Amino acid sequence: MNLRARKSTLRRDLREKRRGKNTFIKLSIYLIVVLLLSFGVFGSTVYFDGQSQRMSKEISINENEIYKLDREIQNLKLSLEVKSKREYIYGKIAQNNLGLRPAEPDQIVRLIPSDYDFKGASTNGKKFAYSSKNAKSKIVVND
Amino acid sequence: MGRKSFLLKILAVTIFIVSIFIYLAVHLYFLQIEQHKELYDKAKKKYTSVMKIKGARGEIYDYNANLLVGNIPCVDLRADPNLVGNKEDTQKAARFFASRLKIPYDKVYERLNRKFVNGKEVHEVVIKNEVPLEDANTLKEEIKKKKINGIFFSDGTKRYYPKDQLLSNVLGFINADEIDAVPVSGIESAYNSILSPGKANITVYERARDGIPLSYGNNRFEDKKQGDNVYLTIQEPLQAIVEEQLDILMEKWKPKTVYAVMVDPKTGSIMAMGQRPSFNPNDRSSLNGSDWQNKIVTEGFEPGSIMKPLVVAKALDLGVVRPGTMFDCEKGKWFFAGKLLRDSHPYGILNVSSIIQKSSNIGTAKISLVLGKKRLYDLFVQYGFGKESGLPFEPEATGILRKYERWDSLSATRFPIGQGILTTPLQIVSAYTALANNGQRMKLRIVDKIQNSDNGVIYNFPVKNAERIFSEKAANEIVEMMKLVTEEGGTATKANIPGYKVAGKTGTAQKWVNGEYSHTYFVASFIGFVPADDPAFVLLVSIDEPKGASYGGVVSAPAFTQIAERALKYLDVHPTEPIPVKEEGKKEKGN
Repeated sequence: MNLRARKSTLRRDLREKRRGKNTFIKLSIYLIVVLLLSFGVFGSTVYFDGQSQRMSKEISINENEIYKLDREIQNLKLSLEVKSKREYIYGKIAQNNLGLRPAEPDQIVRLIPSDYDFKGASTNGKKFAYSSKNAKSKIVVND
Repeated sequence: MGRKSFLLKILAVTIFIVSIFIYLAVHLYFLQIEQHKELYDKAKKKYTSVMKIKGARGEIYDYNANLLVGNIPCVDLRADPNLVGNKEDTQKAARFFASRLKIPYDKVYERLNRKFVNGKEVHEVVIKNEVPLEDANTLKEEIKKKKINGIFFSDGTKRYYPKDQLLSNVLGFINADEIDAVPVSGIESAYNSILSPGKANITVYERARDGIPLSYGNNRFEDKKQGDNVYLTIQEPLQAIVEEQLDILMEKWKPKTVYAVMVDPKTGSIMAMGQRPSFNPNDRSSLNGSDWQNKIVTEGFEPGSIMKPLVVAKALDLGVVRPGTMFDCEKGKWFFAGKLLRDSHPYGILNVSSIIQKSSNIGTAKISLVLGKKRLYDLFVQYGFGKESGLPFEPEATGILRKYERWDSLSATRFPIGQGILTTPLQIVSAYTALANNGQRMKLRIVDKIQNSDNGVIYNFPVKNAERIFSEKAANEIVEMMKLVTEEGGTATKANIPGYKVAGKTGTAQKWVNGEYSHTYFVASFIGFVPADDPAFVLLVSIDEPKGASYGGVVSAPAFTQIAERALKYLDVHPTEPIPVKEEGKKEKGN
């Protein structure tokens, strides 16, 4: 075999060898990429699932807090009712010496006029306090 | 050689990585496919929990949504004796709970030491139920500080009556057992099916290691069904005013029982209804005999003279008498059908208005005879005597109205003056709505509406139809007569309210004791409505066996005034008459 033929044979062999190696490397790279992508997908699924679990946990914790607060509110509501009962109020009035008492009928001055007009009513020598449709303030009539 | 070695290294790494992945894939196959059932069952067993959820019992409110009965959150204190620790720890825990919760040391120690029963481990014992929420929170902190183990807190609620004995006889109470609430009386019993929550939901769910339910998985949390809320026609401030006066009456006259009923004559709504003696449903250790019963509903009484206007109104309506028709009151003693009938004073000739004003028994008896037995019987039936009132309470007394066939010659003279006929306070008040409502009697109602606590939907209980007993003209005439009762010359001048016209009637009924009418035991009553021409309410005050005085005008009428004055202020009912101004130097009216 002459040198040129041998060289071309060698080159052909080399090319073939290189092609074989290239294919092998390419396949390996593809396989690694696919595996990495699969791992990536799997990993992100696990990550988002974990996020979902964390959020669910937060929701449950908040629901628990709301439940506790609801009970506190119910407790406070009932405490408010207890503090609005007459014995409690009277007790506080006495305890603090407030000296409160209901108004006498003649001490009530109505800002919204009554439907009743007592002008001209017989007084028999008595003083009367009344409000009328046209009256703007309490009027005392002396006989 | 260099390149070959490089390629060999790449090959080796590739084989290594692929092998790892193949191993993982095979392992995954074994876990997910081969061992799936076994592992799934194991996990399910460990991380599945059962939750029993029951809704809360419905609440009871007054007309203006003031809470009368609610559920106060509380905590049940439990322990796992097998986690508490050794003898020393158990003793320490028992000493702590005995001092903090005021329970006997021996009792607590015995429970905490109960590690086995019939050979099985005990994991739950009760230390104390219904611990208030604030106390429970403090206890938690203290238990943590003292490092007491094995204690856990279970959330619960307790039925609570925030106003203590206010309206207690009407509201009733329940006994709570392990499973359910057992209603005993009152609204709690009558509306138990509405107030009760639905059956407990039992939910199976998957949880994480820390107990939090998992968002995925086979979880179905059904909403618990709450009991519905009941709104009464009672107005709490008016109820408080009434009960305050009842306490004063008990103190002053030392009676057997005292009660008051306030009703809106236009709708039949009961605005207030109180009695003494009563009880505190939050503290039943002090419950005395029959104090918990609603005697306004369960007991009857002979009404006495308060019956008179009801009969005279009908006589006016039928035209058998006029306000000016005269009757001879026989100077206070009248024999009829072989029996003596007396008046409290020796009256001579009186007209019908004066008969009412002065409460003449003889005059009323003669009017009734003119009216006639049959019409009288029919009238009593129309008023609802001898029948239940239609309110939801059980048991309810119907009173006694003798059947017409059993009426004798005396019946027509005695029943109209309130003797020989048994009525309940509710029947009397219902009958008086006819006088106050232009001749139309209203049936009573105590529940205004029901609210679904889940969706807020409200069911209103409608006002029942009025029943016309007599004409508006007759109603106006009888009201004019009843106004005279509270004016000078009447039997109830103490029921006069400055600024208002009061229409009312006193009643002093002898009690039937040992086969005869007693001269010692009386029921003193006053019933009226104010303002007379457009009443805001009808109010009955009745005192059973007052000591020291017996006349309705002396005992009950002042109580009526006290209650009515304050009620009129609360309801902002404007005065219809001039109000006298107090002269300076005169003693002021007390509280």
